[in-house]
Amino acid sequence: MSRSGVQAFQNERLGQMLAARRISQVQLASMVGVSPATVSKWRSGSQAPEHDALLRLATVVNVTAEWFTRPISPKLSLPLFRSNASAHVSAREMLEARLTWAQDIAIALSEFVDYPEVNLPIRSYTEPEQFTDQDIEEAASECRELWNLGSSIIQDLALAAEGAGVILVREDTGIAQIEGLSAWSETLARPFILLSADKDNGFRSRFDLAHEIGHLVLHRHIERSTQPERHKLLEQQAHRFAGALLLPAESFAREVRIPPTLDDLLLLKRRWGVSAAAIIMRLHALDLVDENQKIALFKRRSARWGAKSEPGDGERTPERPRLLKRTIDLLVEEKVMPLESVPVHLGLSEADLEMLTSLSEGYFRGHNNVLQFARMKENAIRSDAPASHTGAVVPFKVRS
Amino acid sequence: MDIPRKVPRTFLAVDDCIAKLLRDIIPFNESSGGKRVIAIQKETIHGLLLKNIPRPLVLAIEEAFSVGAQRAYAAAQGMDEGHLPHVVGQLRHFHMNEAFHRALAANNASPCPIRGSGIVSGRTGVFTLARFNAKDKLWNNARRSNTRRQMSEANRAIEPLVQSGLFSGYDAPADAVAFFVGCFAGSLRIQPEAPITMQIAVPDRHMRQWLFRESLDKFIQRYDMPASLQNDMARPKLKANVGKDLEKDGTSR
Repeated sequence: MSRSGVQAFQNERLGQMLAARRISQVQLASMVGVSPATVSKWRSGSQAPEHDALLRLATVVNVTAEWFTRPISPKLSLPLFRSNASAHVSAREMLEARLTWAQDIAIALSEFVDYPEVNLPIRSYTEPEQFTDQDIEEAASECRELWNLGSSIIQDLALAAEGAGVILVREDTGIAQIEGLSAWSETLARPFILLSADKDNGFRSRFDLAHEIGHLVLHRHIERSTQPERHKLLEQQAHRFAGALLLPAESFAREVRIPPTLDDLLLLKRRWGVSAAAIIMRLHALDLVDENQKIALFKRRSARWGAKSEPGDGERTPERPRLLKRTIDLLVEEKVMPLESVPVHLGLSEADLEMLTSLSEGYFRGHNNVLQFARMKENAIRSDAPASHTGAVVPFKVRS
Repeated sequence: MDIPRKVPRTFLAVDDCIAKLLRDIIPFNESSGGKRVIAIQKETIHGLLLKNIPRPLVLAIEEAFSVGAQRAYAAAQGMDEGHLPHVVGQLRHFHMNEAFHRALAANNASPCPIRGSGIVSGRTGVFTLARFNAKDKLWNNARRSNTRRQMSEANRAIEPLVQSGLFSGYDAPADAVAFFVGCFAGSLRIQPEAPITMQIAVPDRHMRQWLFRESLDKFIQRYDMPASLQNDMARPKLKANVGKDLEKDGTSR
């Protein structure tokens, strides 16, 4: 490593940054004003950037220069992605990097606060083939029991998950193909979930969250694999879990008229907060409709509503994470940390922090700026006021 | 309570009652530093039912009513139109009794043996369960049975849950009665093969009023509800030493 460079520079941070910003080394080099080879050396660790170059680098990628000198926190477990096959490798890397940043934030804040205890029913199977449908139904039911949700509609799944110690992130990722991912942090011994907010559909987002909870509960001890068949099986199991968690057999089945019409499904969708498509899949999983009926329902659904959306998709506001946001609010309110010091302490840009912790846009700039209502000058009041304060007495009309 | 020595008897009696009432409804609470705190009575009739009657039993009874009514209507087919409504009514009684008996037996609700046209009853928790059929809007059938009226006397103990008495408090009952009611249209032209609704009903001690009455559909949904509104557990807690350390250091704002 070059002697003149910043010695504490962590080259892995640069790799993380490239992934998180989804930019190539060449693009970064032109933004910083150095050659691509120099960036390559920084990244490999054979050379560290000079002080000036580091400042430029930090400015163009919108973090503090000091962030590049922070030791890398231990990696999360390999995440499971809810995505279709076309999802690009760089897209996955980006989300993985964002999830790692969420972990960095949570670790930094855990110096001051205790998060809710982790309360998930974890299964210890090491092979996905070991699960039966019954196991999955039982795991979902146990989850509801642990979270004291009864067997009716879940009012707010995000709240329940965070209450069970899950660190939840929901942000616009720009990657429509990946709905979410989940992983375990060994450092914090707690799970992380990142949900894509791109579709802005409260029903689908709820199901995505239930799906990721399924991965956390069922697949913690299952080795990750890129084999498509194995990946497909894991996805199917997480889907089954999500259906069972959101639509428990014993209470949901009672409310369904068989065979259902699409309009029946729309009513159920509103009531249970689950899309009509997911309800059809659940009915099939419960053997309440057979394969032919399921296909017929999907055909009718496509014919009436098209393939991409359903009526009423905008009726439900997506559930928003609260835990990290509340943690920052708490630290500021209890005067543990001044508002303006939070981004400095965490090393990330205000925009990144606001997205990863679900804080409102401009939170770090505007929190303490109390807007004053315009007040009329005293002189103006005096000049407009009548000279005498004695009012004229208006007599009532006398009835004749 | 300190009572002055020279107090007329009548006043003493009333005073005693008030003292008892205070003891009953405003219990002494040590955790509140010895102050008397009004305890809010949380027990309800439906809460008592949910606690004592398991959900599978209610589902089984619901199914038994449907199937019993269906069997009765099927068995009456071919009878003369002139007395068909009576035949269907009587057969409903027998078939629904039988199905009810089996539902009780299969769910460990200790049914009494079927005997003649007698009432079939079972027991679960503190509740004795029985059934009858009635017209959908008019339940005049309910009080006709002497046995049902006698059974209802047990509900004296749970009446305070609806109307609390001034001089008597509520103690957890050892006995209570609930009826499952199959409500039919009253005409064979309207849905003769199944009840229009099925209800669970808890009568007062005279069986003149209903302390609780609800369709089974709605009642079963009560089992699905969580014990309370969803708890908000997603709250971080400041570590014990965090704020204090900063104050000592003089680094707080």
